Amino acid sequence: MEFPVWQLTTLGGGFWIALISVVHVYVAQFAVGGGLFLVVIERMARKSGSKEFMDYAKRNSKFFLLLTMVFGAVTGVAIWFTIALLAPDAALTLIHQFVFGWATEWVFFLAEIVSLLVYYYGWERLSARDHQIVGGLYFFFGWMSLFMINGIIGYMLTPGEWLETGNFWDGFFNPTFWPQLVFRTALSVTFAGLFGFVTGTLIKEEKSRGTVVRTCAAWTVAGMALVALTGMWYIHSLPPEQYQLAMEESARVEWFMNSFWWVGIAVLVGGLLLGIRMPRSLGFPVALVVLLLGLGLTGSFESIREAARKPYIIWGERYSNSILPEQMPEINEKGFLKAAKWIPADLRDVTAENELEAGRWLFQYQCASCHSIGGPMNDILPHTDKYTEAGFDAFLSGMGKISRYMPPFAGTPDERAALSAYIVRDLHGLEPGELAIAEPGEADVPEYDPEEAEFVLFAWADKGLRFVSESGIIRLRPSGETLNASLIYRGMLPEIVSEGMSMEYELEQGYPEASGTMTPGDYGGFKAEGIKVEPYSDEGYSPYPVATVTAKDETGEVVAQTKAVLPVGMRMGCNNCHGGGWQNNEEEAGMSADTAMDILMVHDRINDTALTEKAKSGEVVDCAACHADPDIGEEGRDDMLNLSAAMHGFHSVYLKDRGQDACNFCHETPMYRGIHADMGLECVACHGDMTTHAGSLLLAEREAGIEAADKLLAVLEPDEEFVQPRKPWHQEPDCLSCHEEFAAPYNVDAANQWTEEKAQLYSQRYGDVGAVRCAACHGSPHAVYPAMYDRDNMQPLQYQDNRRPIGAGNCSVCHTMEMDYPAHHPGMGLE
Amino acid sequence: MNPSSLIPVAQTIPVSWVWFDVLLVLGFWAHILMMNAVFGGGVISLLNSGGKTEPLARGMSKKIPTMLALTINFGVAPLLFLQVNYGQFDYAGTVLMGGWWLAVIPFLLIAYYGFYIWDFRYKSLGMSRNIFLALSLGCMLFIGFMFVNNMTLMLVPGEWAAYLKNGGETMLNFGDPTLLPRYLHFMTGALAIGGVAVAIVGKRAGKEPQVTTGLKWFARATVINIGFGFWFLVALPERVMLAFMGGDALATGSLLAALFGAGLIIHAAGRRNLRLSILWAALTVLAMALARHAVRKLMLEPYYSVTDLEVTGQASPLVMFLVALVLGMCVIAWMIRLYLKSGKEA
Repeated sequence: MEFPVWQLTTLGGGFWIALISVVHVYVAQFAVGGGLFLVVIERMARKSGSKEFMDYAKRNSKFFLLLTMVFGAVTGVAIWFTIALLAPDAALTLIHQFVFGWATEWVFFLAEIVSLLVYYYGWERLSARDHQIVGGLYFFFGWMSLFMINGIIGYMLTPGEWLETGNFWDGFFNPTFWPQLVFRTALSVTFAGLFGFVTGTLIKEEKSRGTVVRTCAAWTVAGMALVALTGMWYIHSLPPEQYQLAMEESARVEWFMNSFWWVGIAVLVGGLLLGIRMPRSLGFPVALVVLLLGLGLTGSFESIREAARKPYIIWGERYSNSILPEQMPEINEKGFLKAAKWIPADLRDVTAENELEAGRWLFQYQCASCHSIGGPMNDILPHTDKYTEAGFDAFLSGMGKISRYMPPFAGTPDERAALSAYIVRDLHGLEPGELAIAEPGEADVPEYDPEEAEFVLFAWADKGLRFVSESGIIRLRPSGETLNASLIYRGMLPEIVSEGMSMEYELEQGYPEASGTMTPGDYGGFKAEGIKVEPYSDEGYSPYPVATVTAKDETGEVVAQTKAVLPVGMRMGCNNCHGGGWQNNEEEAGMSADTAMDILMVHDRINDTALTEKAKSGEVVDCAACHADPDIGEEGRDDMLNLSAAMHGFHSVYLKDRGQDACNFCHETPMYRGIHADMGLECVACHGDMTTHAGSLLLAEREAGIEAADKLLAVLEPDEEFVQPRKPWHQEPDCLSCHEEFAAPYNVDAANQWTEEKAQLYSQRYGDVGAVRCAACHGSPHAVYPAMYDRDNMQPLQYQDNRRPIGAGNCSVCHTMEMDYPAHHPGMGLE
Repeated sequence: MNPSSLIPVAQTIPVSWVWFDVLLVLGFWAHILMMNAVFGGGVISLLNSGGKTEPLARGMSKKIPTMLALTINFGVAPLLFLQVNYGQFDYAGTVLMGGWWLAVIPFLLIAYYGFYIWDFRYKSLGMSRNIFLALSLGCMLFIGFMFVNNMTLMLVPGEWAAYLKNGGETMLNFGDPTLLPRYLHFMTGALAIGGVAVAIVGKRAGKEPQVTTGLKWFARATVINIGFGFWFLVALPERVMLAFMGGDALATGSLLAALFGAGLIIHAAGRRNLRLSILWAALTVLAMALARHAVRKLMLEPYYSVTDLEVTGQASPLVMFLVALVLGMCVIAWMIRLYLKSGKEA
């Protein structure tokens, strides 16, 4: 915000600080332990009276000088240069808050240099006693400089009370000061051994070589034991929030932690091996390997520490991308490109022309501090290659809210869209595409003679908007539609007939065969459940297959026939964010195996499950096994959110405050095609926006005592005076909320006025007479008459030659004559 | 655009700015004396690396690596204090320099190891050792140039907007007319002070010709440097130049002191008076360090004054530092004395 950014791509993401600091810390911690080691070796050499041993001690001190004073010191300065380049704001905070800590450390550096030079050049000049005192002084000053830097580094991870007081001592003697100090001292001891191996294994004379190498082995083993113990102390000194992130939530920390232990064991084993008498030719190469392992140990530890500090560079004070949390509200309102100082004038406002360049600058300022482009550090490309532009924008809007590892995106929605455009369109070269909307095909209205017909047959799907997802990996929404039929014997007093009648259904040509018998239901009608049908026909993707329903009497004679659409959509938008294309790429439908695996991978990462493993072993992952799905009668686990609450609750983090767009992201919303759609009422008009839709589910789950609801509600923050709890599938918008007394509505106000139970759902309800289901006359939900396409209006067309609800101003369809009283419900076109 | 809009917000300082300005100048003084000894001494050694005067190079080779260690160490202190009082400017310039600034590090490592190879392998390499010496000196030329860029880029916020126009690419300070004369002035000054270093080393080794050589370099480089200094002066923005010509007390005073010192240098060196040469060298460089500081303050005047900084008043860490400094210096002094004494006994 305050400073320009050094724009890096391949070598971005913190490459320079990672490389330089790991190398420096390895050598510097060696320098601390090695300082003591020098004196110990000198004592042993003098005691032994061996000239070879003394020569070794002198050679070793030369090696020490050339490594630690030159390389160690200069790489230390290099860290300083690098942090100024990569994180100037934070570096200046360290400078300004701890200048006298740095200055004190500098005094120790000077004393180190002088003592080391005196030690090295004074082998022959100084008395044995004086020489060892100088060596001891070197070690003392070396350890004291560790003491100083330890405070400042520890402050970055756990600033403790400094966050409130701003006091130097609170920041310096922070919660992890002492554990980190002993931990690093233990590492220093270990590293002294590791580096000692390198020079020690080269000693020609066997006895001295044996003594030195065994000493190094002792230091390595003892050091690693201390590392293990002090490491435990260190981890447990982390404040609870950081401990949780580091130990329970962050996959990245987990990886580095595992590396640390494995490499640590290898170092231990290597050290022990070298402790055994080894021939000189074998010892040195092994020593080099162990030395490299030590570098790995340093790298993994420093990476753990860095990862445990996320999303901050100074915990609680400043994000890794140098933005201050307290500035977020201003930035989100004003825009990052306006709030930051170093932005070209023509990029302050995002336009269609500058969108990609604006996105590039946003990436450099907010992302490049940790993400390289095509490089070794957290390469952004594989992280983002599964997203569409819209999907990634959705992800950015929820970033950092569930997985607290990431800082939030800072900026306006336009800027966020620009960043997404840069990453998806520019970096990945993906042009946005559009799915063609599958319109229902032709309507072949069945024959009907109102003079002659004895019966009138109605048929409708339980769901007018039905999604199926059976990828073979995840069983999210199994296939199995329900078709209903109502056979009515016409007359002044019509009768619902089922006894002695048989009802069959058959899906139209071109679809995989699905036909069968319908069984009498509990209301006098017929029902066929579990009908499995796919939306693929000879004409390609068509989610509106037509079922011909035929009623026959006992003799097998056809008494009535009609047609109804049995919708099945397979274009769920999971792949917007989960990638993977489609199961059927030609038809662009169905959840692919790649999409499914990505979903499981995310689920595993966030919830610490092992579903990808399960899937890879060939088992289908059934969502309802854990997440109750009342629609298909699955009870799930009673300590887990129900499926709808989990799905909508989790995704609401990324899709809230988007109105209707949120629905369009995932659901095949063109399948909403009845009169309400035709009138321009969107999903959100009845179901509420994402905050309502997900919030209502989560509130009900919270009432049911499910803990997971709290975490999601904390992010979603629905207005609890407005959003009403509900159970999925059974508590849905109630027609009568708007259609008061069944009349035409004055205003649209259906959200948060849910049906109390399943029986009150439109699809299950009866008219006032209790005989006829609402849907029999009005059509399937979401395709209510008059629907937008005639394929859904076939029954009104068949029986009334219009598209209105059955019986609208025309009771004779069933009653064979006009009625003067709207018995089934008020209105009915009679008033 | 208004350059001020690019200047980052300054952070708070614990105690009065005076502490940091004083420590900065003193630290820089120590650093530049050491740097001069290394670079200047190294150049003189390279030009005396064979034949009769070769012992000069040999003598210097044993000292230069140590002096480089001290150069680096004494560089840390002033850079630290600079960043306290002027960090927002220094870091803006640093980031603009990008990889150029970071490149100082590998060059420094090469220079440092190069000097050690030149020293530790002096005999075994024969004349090839001079390749390493030359390489190290070349690296130092690069390092010096980068430092001059950094220290001048931080003074010209008016130039910073170029970053916004070039798509955010790294830049150096080539647009600044003071860049080249400043660089030449510093590196020539190094040759002069390097001469003093050579003379000191020669005196301690009892080699009078070396003292003469050193003092000749001292005098002649100083004369040339007055020319580069003049160029530097007139290249400054008029406002700043006039400050040095009577407009500002610190600026004019330090410049006059330095010129006077230059005169004393030429006189003492001409007389082959080593002790006075050392004294005038040290004092003249101090005056120049003050003049340099005055340039900084004057260049930043339109945008900033250290007196604007907010002081938090946390004095106890300063006490810690002063105590550590005193105690540390005592131990250091003891160790050095121990070394020097033991040499006499041995």
